[in-house]
Amino acid sequence: MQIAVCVKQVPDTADIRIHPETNTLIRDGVDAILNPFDAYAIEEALRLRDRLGEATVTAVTMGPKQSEAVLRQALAMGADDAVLLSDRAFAGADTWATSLTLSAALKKLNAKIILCGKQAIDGDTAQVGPAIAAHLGFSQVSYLTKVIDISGDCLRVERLLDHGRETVQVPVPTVMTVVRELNNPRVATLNALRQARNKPIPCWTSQDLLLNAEEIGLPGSPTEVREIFSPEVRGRAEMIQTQSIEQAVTLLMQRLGQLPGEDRP
Amino acid sequence: MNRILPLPISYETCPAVIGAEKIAEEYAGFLADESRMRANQLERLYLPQSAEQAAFAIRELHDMKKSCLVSGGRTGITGATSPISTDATVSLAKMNRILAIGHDGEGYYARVEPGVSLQELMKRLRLRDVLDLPGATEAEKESAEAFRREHSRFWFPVDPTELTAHIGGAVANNASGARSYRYGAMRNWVKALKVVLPDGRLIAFRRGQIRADSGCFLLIQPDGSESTIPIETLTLPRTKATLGYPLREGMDLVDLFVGSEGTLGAIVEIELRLAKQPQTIAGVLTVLDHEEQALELVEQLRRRSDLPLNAVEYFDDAAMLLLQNLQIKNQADLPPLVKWEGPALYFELGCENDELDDALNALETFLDNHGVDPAATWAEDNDTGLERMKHFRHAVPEAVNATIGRHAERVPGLHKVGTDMAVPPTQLRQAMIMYREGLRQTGLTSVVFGHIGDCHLHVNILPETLDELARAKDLYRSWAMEVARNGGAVAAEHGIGRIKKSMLEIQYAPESLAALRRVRHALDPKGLFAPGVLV
Repeated sequence: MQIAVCVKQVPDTADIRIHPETNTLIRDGVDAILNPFDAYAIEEALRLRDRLGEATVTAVTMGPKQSEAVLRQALAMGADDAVLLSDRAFAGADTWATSLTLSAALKKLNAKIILCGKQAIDGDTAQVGPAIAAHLGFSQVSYLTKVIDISGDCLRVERLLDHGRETVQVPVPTVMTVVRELNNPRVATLNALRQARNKPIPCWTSQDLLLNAEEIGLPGSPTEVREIFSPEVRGRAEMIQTQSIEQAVTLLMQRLGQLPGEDRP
Repeated sequence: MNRILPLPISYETCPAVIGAEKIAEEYAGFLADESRMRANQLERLYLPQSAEQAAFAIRELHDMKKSCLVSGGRTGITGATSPISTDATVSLAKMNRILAIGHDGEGYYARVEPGVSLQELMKRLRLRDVLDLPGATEAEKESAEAFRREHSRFWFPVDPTELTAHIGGAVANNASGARSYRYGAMRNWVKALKVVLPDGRLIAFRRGQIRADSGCFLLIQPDGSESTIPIETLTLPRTKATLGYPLREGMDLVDLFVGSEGTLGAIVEIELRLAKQPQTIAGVLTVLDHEEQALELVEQLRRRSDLPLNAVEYFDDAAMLLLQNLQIKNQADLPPLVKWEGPALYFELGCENDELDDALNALETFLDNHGVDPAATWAEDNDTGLERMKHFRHAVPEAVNATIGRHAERVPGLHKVGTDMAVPPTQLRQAMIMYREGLRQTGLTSVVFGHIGDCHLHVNILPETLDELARAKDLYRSWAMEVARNGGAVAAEHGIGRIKKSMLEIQYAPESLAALRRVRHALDPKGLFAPGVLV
């Protein structure tokens, strides 16, 4: 069984500043990191491999040459292989074109179980995972919190909802996007890190994936960005700090009493 | 040259909060610091935003004969910024601007106000966010432009655990941390200082400019006369140390103020040397079978020059057990290690990209040759992973504090007894035997961790009863006497403050303590500055 995990290199948003005039990200000196949710996806892929026995895990990313770094992180954690999708023609892709490109690679890998982080912290769309499932015609589970069991061609899994959890049974092949609650990602040993740093990583271009120039990158991206702006700050959090809960509640009641009538709870 | 000539200064009125009641109600945080020592009251709180305002405040207090304490981030753990029996605090927290990044031919430097936190400086350097700095000269503006274009990264390499600490405090305390193994303490990085003296006068000086000569510095008085600051030569430890003033003939005036814990003046501006940052940093944690193996590895490492080590840290098996319990209970974001039982060593490597493979290879072979289980390692070469390792390391003192906090809920008055002593490399094994023997004989519970590469371990004793607390203190004193006798330092990075004054009395003979007091008296004859701190 081929298990694939889609990972992404993202700017460390802890360092992100917005240019006050252009409203664009200032990327100067900002470190590129593995999208935090993807570490949980890698871990779950490795656990599934161990549970299934005869399976391999391949990490896939689309990006420039330097995004190889996140593939090496996956390899250090224990992934068997990694593939970089890199081509100038991929540049400017929106979530549609990105998921289409990734789907082509996943198809070429013959991946049957595909794991992704629930979203990337730079775009926060949470669209790429589900879109891969749509492109490939696979079943999909978003917000995966637990893989309960694997039987035959089915997985019984638990997913996070707004107000609870849901257990679902999904047929394989499937795409699952994961949340932090799923697991605690393992760490690399010294030997694994050393080997991962030097393992050859194949690079696939649009030609390798038999994709036309019109369906990928900017030309293949129907999304149109009309405007980017920083939302106006509408309110300010106020911390109530007191010696006791009683005092805090009293203060809170007083504060709420000051609100206009329609805003009162 | 040993003459110190104060500069002319235009004093500016300083924002102040007057009245013990108002301060207790609205500024209660200023009554204590991280040591949890708490003053009953504080009469005046000054919040200067410039050196001129700070000087105004200090001169006013001097003229009113009111005692005063200078504070910054108040992250110190020896009570040096808790205003006990003090009339006023001058907080430099609002003097928090990075003034300039420049280049002086030798290398880049940062000129900062004391209230800039270490993490703020580190972040701004990392992001190269150094343009339009408020104190930059034209030449410094050009240097800052060049800094942004540099292919290499530059950083401030000293990394005390508490990165919210203010630079002024870190300088006043000669702070250090894990990377002192390679980079030394704050002292090594201070190029120049501006200081407001206890009488409100301002002095500015660069390293190399003013040195003690003929047993003294000479401070020029307003009437042109000279007052003597006597500098006798002390027997200093051969290790890293924060023991007040490292007095010796020929000492640099910068070194008199670095580590002076706010007793000689208020440091209002600092120029720090920056270093080229290694292109890549890797961290390796390895869990061992027993403590002897750790000591052997550290001793052997000293003979290796092929490993570009920034830091070598130690966690004994009790520390690892604390962390494992946190991990199992999911109380901290700690990774699932393959092995938790046994002590651990952490190595940080820093080098060029193309050197890291060789360095990792050499370390792996080294560990392999010493029988370390290859599966019981954790290695990271990226920023997220290194952050996770830092979190892991910092979780030890946090877990210790949480444990003693639980004990103190049951028995009020309990606190941990934490050592901060460094010994010369030849004494490390002996010191460890002494610690273990003392702990075994007294039956006290402890956690040992810290900067083993610098032979500087923190033994944290966790008493559960007041009787155990008394025994822990006795044990600490007996260790300190041994450490001082063998050329070590009883305080290596936390400072003396109020809590460790008895340690200084163990370190130094009465005549040496008197020499420290004479320096202090020469600069603060009225004894108004930081009363009760240091000596």
